[in-house]
Amino acid sequence: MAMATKTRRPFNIFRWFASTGWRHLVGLAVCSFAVFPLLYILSTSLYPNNDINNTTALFADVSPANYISLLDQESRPFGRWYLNTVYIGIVTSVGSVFLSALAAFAFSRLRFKGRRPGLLSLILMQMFPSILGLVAIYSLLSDVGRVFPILGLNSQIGLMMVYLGGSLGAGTYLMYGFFNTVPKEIDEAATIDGASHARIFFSIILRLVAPILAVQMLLSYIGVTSDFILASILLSDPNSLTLATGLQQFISDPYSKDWSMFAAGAVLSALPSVALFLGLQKYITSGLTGGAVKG
Amino acid sequence: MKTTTRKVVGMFTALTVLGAGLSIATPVSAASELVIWADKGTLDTIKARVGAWDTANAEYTAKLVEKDFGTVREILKTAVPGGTGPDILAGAAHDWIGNLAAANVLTPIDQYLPANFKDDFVPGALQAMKYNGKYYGTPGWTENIAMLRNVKKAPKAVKSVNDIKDGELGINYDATNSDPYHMYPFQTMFDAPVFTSDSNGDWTNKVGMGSTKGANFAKWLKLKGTKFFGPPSNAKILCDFLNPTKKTTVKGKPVVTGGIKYWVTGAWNINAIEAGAGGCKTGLKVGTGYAIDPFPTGPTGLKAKQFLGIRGYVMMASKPGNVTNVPAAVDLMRWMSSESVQFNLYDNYNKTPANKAALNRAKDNPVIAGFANAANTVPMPNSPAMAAAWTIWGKAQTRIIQGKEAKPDVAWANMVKALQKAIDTTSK
Amino acid sequence: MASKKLKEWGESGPSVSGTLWKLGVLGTVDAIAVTMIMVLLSQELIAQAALSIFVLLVVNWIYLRKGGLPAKYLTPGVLFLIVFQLYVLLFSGYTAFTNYGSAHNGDKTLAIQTINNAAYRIVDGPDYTIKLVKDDQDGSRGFLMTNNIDGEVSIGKDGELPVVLDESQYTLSTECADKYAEDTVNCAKPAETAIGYTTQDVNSFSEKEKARYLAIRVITDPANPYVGLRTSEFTIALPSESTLEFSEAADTFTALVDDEYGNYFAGDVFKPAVDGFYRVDGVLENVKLDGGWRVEVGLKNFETIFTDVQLREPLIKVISWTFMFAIATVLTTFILGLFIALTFNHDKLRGKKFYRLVMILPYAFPGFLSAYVWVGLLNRENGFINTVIFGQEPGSEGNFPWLLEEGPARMAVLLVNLWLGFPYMFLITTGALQSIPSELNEAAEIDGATGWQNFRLIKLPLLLISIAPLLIASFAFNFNNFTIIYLLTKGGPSDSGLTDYDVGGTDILITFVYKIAFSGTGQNFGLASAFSILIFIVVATISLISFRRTKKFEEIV
Repeated sequence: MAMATKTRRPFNIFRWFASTGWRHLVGLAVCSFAVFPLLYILSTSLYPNNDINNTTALFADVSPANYISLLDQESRPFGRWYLNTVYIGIVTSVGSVFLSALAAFAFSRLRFKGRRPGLLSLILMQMFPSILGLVAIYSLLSDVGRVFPILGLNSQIGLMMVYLGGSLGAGTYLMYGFFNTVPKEIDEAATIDGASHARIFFSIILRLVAPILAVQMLLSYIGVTSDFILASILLSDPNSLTLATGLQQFISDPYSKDWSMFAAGAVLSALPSVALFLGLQKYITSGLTGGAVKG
Repeated sequence: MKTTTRKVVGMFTALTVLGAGLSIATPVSAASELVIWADKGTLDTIKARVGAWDTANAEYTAKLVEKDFGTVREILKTAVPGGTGPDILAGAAHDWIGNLAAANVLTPIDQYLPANFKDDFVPGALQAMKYNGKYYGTPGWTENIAMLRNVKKAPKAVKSVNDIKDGELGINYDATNSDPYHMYPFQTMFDAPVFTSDSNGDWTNKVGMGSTKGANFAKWLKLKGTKFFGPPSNAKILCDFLNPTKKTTVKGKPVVTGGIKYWVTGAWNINAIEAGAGGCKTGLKVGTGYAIDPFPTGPTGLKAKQFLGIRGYVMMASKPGNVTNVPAAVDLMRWMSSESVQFNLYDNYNKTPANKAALNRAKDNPVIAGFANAANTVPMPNSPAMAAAWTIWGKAQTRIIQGKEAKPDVAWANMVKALQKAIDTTSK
Repeated sequence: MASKKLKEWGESGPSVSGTLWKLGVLGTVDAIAVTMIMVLLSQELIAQAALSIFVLLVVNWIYLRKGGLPAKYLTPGVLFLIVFQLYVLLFSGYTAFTNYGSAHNGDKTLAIQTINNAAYRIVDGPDYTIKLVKDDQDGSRGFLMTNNIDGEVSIGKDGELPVVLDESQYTLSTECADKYAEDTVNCAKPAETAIGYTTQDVNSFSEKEKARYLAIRVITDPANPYVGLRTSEFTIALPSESTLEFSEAADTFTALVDDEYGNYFAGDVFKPAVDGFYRVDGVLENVKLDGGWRVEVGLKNFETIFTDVQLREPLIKVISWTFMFAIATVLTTFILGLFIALTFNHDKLRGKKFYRLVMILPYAFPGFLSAYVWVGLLNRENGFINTVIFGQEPGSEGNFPWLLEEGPARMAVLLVNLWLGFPYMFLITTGALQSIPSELNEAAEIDGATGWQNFRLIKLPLLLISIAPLLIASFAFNFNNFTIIYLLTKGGPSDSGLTDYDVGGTDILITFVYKIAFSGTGQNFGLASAFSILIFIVVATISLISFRRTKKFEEIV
């Protein structure tokens, strides 16, 4: 609007620079900061020589050798890890978003005793340093596993249960924010039309926040698939490992670090989340802020 | 939207059920299963032999699981009491034994070792698996370090450490925790043993390096510094050892590459030396290219000693309700200790046999003979406090070498105090 | 208003398909739960089964009754929360008052078993290759024993001296006594069968039958009842002497012989001491047996935290760096993110989308992988940053010691965290900036405010209102940002190790506590749990106070 009132002036490089040109400089600088570690790992993954520290120039030599040998390791079944990770990631993220959406709906739309303290304790519980719960989780699963082996240690279902247990605290608060941004008038109108609460939840509210749900799932997916401590303690069979725990093996042994293989694995592991992230980026800001900031 | 939600719910259920199905399909550990944990290096080494045992013993199934060398001990301490540990840990470094035994993780195996079996090993090898009067494991192979020499750059073995010039020595030591293991030959040149010994020659719990002899060593470390020992975590030792010495000038500064003539290391680097690696593709052959020498004598003419390290097989403790598969474990441990297996591991993976007969058969090999000839070993201590000891001891060494301690003897004395305290706390 | 609506929700009848869905899901859950309860009952875990039945009934009641809507929505998540979060909290809470740690990592039965496993010593004397046999006459169990030294064959039964057999009474096996002997022709061969006895196959044994054979002790010296031949894995029998005897009734170990190291003497009685060890007479200062169990120690762990002089110095250092780290991370990421957001919040700028795409890449890349990549980049001798970006000489130890010395390592950690965190701040501040009504900008311009004044007096305060809770959350997250520190430096570089605690230059509280709990110098879960409770209280309090001071929180809860 403001532009329309201005008269067109001849192009002046100094004025252009003062107004927008410098912004490109900033953009380029920040972009190179953001991207060079990633180019570096890509370059290492393509460099057919096992030493992350010997490559001085990016893309000095390009060969798919590392990728080929990565997929051809008997004791480290990368393909299997990949499937495990996708499976655990999808089940957990879908499950946790569903659970926290249910809870957020209750907090946002219903009024009940203990609502405020409930929400508050959810927020607070997140602040417990979960890494120190490892021992508790380990002993819990080992006890459960003695009776129900498929829920115990070295079971992916057990691991997913643990992830789901942590999801309520993390997701509900954000989701609650989105649900509050959906005007109450909408469900009131639906109620008058005779819709049940389940219909309002599943068909109206969830539908309105669908993009946000997708972003939440993505964030939860990234969180779950990045976890390596819980997974490395709970899973032990090489065939049941996730990427985060498996890839670490390439560089954890002080006597035989295999950086090229690690780099190739890292690039392949990051692909789905990066692709999804970029695809959904339109919605990401609001996904991050729980509707507190409209993106 | 409703259909979408249903799809999502449906997919969720389907995936969970699928997962449950998969997990059920994987067999739950049966009584005859023998689970062996091993780090990557050990796993690659023993895989074929364990496989052969598995095939020969129809009543048992061996399952090898890869575990991270650095963290496996901590995992065992939770896993074994929790009933989810393995039956055997393979490739266990013998200095772990005290620490693991004190944590209820291991079971002594004296009752499985007939006298003639004990005679099968080279002196000290089985002894190293002993803690508190009990044997906790069987030896797989032995490791000791020696002074490797590039024959082209130094045709003759060096007699005294004084004859080694700055920049000629390669030694691996960590930037933060140092490496008292690699430094020990130099320390013993000052007659400063880590612990005192009792009349049987067994280590006591009393730190032995606190005397003026220890202080002298500390002062010598500072005097020599990184000029002599090189930088910590030096990734270029291999190339500098293999490559011919070259002096060039970069940006006006003189730069020497390939200056390393002597390398303090063990048999685990022999493959890399013979194959060559990275930017130094030509490897060296033993004898014509490199030699394996005993350590030189110290500044005052004292003879150096190095640790004898044993990598072996240890059996896990049984917990009520979760029993280690003892017969299978014992059988595998005896199999892995047998002459044929130990010779095979030497033949294929250059592991120095702990089995006497196998070692005799391997003696013709110049590498094995070289390390044996260089050995003037003492057993590596394996008290429960060793984990802490390496760190405390090593950190002080690195700081002194890097010149971070103005008074090396004071820093050394403080280290000895801290170490003694750590040991007393653990053993009380 | 809302409550009125609620009633209406409850009244409007659910659709048929909805009811079917509900019953289907509930039925499936019930079926699984009932199966699990059956399993629990079959294993005689009555209390667990009772609890499960109770929970199952409550869940069914919640979903089948009319009304009670909030419970219907909250139950699934809350169930998981109780099992995995609340349990963890309570467990840690309890552990904080125990000595749970590496020497006390199990219950008392495990400790007793550990002690019993080692309560013997092998004594001089021949050892035997054995076969398990049963006497054909009375069915009594015994060993058919072949002396490994002289080849003499005998029958040994529990509590009796071995009876030597002559050659006509047994047949030799075709296999070597040493299964893995190289020379299979000339090796010693053990007896396989004996007349009057039936050789048993151990693989067909039940656990009880195995236990009967394990209990056999063939005496070798009638005068010394503690020495005998026993087997532990059914193929050999060794002469061993019991060193300790456990009495279940008295809960004591009694020494049967003098310890060969002189630690205790025959007749010493070991009783459970309050520190979870068997000690002579149960007195704390006395000698203990290896093998401890978990006991409650009251406030001792908290006492250690507040009074241990060894802990004080490292703790102060760690706490101050934790705050510095968390605050500096929030500030740097926020400032950079805000700066970029302001820069790009410009209508005429082209290529905004492209910039944005590239800039959020660090956020999209899995964090644990980024940390490893940065470790490689920051390598002193040959890292990309030193050799390429700063043009230092490859392989030189004079290069900048990222990650190796305290100051640089702290800088490096903050730099990496800036890289990881600025895209997030950029995204949320962009969102917040766009939500500021443009009329405000125009009004400010009309009033003659400069760009800076406009930003400082109008945009920033508005921005902070909506973003403050996120900044606080970011602070709380980074306060406990274990992954980045652990993966980058493991808390290092370590200092000289002159205190009892392993503490490094970049250790934040959580990594310090993690080391106490898990590191090789001796696990101490009790102390670590006490710490985590304190950390929890600190972080929760700080967050609560700050939340309350931001208006946003008032609106939300």
